[in-house]
Amino acid sequence: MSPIVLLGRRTRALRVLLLVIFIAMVFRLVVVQQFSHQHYASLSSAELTQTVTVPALRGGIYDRNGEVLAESVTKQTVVADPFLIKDPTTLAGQLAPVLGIPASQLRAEVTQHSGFVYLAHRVSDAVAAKVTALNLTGINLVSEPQRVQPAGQLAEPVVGSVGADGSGQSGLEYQYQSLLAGKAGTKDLMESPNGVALPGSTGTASTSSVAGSGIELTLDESVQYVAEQALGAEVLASHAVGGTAIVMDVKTGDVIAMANLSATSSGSGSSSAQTVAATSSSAVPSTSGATLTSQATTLPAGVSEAPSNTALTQVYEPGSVFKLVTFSSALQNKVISPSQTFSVPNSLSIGTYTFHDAENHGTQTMTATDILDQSSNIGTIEIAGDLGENRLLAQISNLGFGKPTGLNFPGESEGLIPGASAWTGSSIGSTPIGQNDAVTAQQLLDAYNAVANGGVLVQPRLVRGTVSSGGTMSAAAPATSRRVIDPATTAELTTMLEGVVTGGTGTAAAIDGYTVAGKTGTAQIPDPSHLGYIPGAFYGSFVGFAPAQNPVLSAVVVLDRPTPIYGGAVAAPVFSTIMEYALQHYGIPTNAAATTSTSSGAVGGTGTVTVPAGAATEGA
Amino acid sequence: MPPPASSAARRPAVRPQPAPRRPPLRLFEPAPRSRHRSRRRPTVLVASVLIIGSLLSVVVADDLVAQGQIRLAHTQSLTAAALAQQKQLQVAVAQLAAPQIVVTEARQLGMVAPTQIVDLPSVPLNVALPVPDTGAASGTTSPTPSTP
Repeated sequence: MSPIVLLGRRTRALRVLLLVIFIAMVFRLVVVQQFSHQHYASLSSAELTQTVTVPALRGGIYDRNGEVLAESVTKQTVVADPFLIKDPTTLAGQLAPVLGIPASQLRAEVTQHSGFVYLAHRVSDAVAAKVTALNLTGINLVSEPQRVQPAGQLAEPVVGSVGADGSGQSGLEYQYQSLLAGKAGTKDLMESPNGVALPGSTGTASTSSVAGSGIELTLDESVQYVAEQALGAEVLASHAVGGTAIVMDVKTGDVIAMANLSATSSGSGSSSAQTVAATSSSAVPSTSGATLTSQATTLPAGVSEAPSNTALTQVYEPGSVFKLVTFSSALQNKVISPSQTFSVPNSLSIGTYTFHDAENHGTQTMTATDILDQSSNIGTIEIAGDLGENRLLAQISNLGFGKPTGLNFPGESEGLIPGASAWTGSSIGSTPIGQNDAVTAQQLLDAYNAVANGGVLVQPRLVRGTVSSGGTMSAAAPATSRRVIDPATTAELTTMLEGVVTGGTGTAAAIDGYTVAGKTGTAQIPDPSHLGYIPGAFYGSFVGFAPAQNPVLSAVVVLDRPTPIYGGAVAAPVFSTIMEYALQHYGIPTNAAATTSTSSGAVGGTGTVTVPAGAATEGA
Repeated sequence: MPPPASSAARRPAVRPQPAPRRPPLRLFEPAPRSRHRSRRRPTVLVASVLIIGSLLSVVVADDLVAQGQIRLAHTQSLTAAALAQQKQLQVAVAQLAAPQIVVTEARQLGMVAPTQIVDLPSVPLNVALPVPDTGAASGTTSPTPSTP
């Protein structure tokens, strides 16, 4: 074989070999790039990328006019990576005056055997800027949301609170946690293997966080403030343990105000509620804690917001305000008429118990209206006797007692109503006067609101709608309602309840220029440890609505262990103060103005006026 | 006829002819240049330009995308900062508008709650307004406003 031929063969073999190698490389390249690229990419990024969770900004809580009751803002938290800190003493010395933390404490923190240590949570923007300017190796800022309550502790038992982790712990914050919380996202940060952020690496969001939706409440910040002020002043004046006040829109069931207060044991108020802001600058929030409240207080010293929403969570024996059930059923079943007379002795023995009227008197002839005006226990028991157990129990259930109100508020009580199975010989004496039942203040108000609403029981509402992160509001479904009393009976009841305020036990509830209908209540407090009642301990309450002949607002005020004990003396004045403000706040015309306006057609053909629906919600 | 002896002198000098070029030494005979190969040259050239151009385009596009990503990240951080600032300002406004702050400020300004609120009587809008008495001194009269 000639050399030339041999050379040609070798060359061809070399070509084939190179081609095979090339094809193999291409094949490998295709395998790596096309089929295994995710695996190798993840291996590569794992070396440089650190995935951190980006918390979603929690939705805000607003009042019916869009005023902020609770809002989340992003704050900076100072953290350290002790592994990167070479000179802890110098660093602590530089950082201490900025953070306001002793240098020794900082040094101890930054010498821990850990890669991540919190130094200061949610610092102010100014402090964050100073920390950034120091440019210290191993010191970083991370974003952390903070809940802020611009109006201080106003309506706090209703709004609720959030914990250190930003989740709702109580109240509406807890009830609407899933809606408010949003959805956390993740962010990939480029870092060197020793944990130093790579220059220019701002991070890419692998999963964007979704901000939570807000909720717009039915509460009105102004009415809520006045309710808390009036109730707080009375709690102090009457040396009560606490108190509750609720204002409700008669037609819609919207809760306009819901105040829950308790007296502080020291008599000096809660520490955070001490200082009334003298200037607007003092309203600037502090920089600690999971929930930030304004320095300004809504309450006088010696009173603080109750630890829970007692209007819905706490039951009490209502006493005489419960007589509405007896009278409404008796009137509706034609057992009595308002002018029907009864012979009413001072006391009455039923079973093993003897019932008395509040004030001693001889046997009197009283009309049904007088019995209600003067809140006669004996007269009411006589009417209940004519009414009978079954119709009384049916009306209790019909008016919503012993059932959930529909608010689904966390910890809400359904009340304790003895059914037919628990009926005893003395029940026909104690139940009709509100001594054998335990109800919440909201349930009581619902029943009176039904009378104000022409016999239609409206389910109360605390939330008007949801507010998207873009600021668009979606209205909640209107409250459900059902007729529980016929209109003729409610008209009679309203007239009788007006008599309570004009000449009965509730004269202190009168409001100049408006007609008011309502009922007082003074009830003993059961002793949880013994059979019977706590000596000298009473609940004083008043519940009613105004204007009586064209009701717009209803309200209930309950004081826990006041002095004097009578609801007409302690709760009725608070009702008057709150209701007067609310009526004027919503521009409800006085009797004289309403008459003039109705005749001129300014208010409308039916003379009906309602609480304004609230302004458009501001951007969330 | 001239003598042939002098013909050599008269004949122009014969220039030395270059040696015939020897074909280059080759191990293999080059393949004959086919017409097909001649036609393929511009195609290869165009393809090369296209490939190189495409690669350059990819590089430029990648650079543009990277720049866009940087700008996007920067804008996103600015947006986030602006949103955070908006929230904080919103809260600051809410703090200043809180009832207790408003009441405190009002009291400091000497304002008091009204002791009585009077509702003005309703006035029908289809009644002509009274004529203001502004021209009595000069003897002129004002035009009567038209009734709606």
